[in-house]
Amino acid sequence: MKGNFEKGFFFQYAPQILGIRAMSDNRYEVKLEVQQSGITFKIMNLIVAFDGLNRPYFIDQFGENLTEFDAVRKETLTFLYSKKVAKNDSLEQKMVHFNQKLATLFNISPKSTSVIVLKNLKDYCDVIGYDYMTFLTHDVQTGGIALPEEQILFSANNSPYYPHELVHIYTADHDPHYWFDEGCATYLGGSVEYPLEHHLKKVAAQMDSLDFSELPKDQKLDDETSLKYSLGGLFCKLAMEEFGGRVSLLILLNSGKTEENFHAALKAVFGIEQKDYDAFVKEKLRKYKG
Amino acid sequence: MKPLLFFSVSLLFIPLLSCQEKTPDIQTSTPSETRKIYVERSSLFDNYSDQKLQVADFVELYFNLMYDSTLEDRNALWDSKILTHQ
Repeated sequence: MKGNFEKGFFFQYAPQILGIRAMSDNRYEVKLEVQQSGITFKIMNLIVAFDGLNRPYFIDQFGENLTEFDAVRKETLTFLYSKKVAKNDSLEQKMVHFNQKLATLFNISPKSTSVIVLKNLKDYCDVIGYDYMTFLTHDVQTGGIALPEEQILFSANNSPYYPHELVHIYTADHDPHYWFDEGCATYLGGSVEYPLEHHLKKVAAQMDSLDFSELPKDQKLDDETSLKYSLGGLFCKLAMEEFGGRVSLLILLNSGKTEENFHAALKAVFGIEQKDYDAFVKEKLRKYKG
Repeated sequence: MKPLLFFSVSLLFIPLLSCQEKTPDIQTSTPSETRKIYVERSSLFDNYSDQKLQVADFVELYFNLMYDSTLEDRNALWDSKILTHQ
């Protein structure tokens, strides 16, 4: 319901109840639309019931749907499979190993996480009760998201293996600028099923026409690759492999959230200032070109 | 496993999902915290029962609570017990 919308968004673009349908058991299905300037962002179904004192409350339809999922427990991970996804023992094991690898890197015990395994984005919408979200119009119909506070990740990828989102479960213990958060997840876990190097090669191929002096200004190269994920990943890779190792990576992951924090972290780890960004990044990208 | 009260509310905070894992925030100018969010109602409401109007009022109440209340307050409005059964 809230999504990523600031409160002010709803002052300007009031959500609308399209209709309310009476169901059985004194329940009601509310169809709610959120739009901006006539463009629909999402249409969701909320289920409301009444208690014995005639007080309304929401039914947790996702939780109800989850009871139909098949659960597989492996060490500290619990995989909850949609009926549309076949179980995959080897990919579960691969995820468990990756979880252990992250625990070692971050020097903590392996995180206990529930991995909600879904066929695709449509399956994700069906399970949480959404009729429409804008991503349903994208060419790529897979994705994922991590909810670190709840220790849950959604793998809408037809697979129990989604390393990128699992990294976010660990980076949430720190205070990274979002470039370093996504960068670390891409460095360690890839993005849209491709490793960091795949994305860096695409950025490098276009770097002569790109200006990196305005970072952290983001730019999407296509549906798969953006500067935020790619160069964020490059910074994390360089920190880990060339500029001090784990200590430097943690400096990036404890950078703070602001743009000033972003610049300060790059200065601390790489000794560069904004005027240096374009030359520094292009020099480091050169090995990925051609 | 964590209690589902916490879990169910998490659904409300799920950002837009995409092939790039995250999409940018959508923001407008900084609002006054005291302003109220209104939830518009379609023309179907002309013939709705009092019970359905009460449902709509409740949804509007929750929209405002989302931003200006504690997690406990919001959790109290959800029926959540699935994960705790596992």
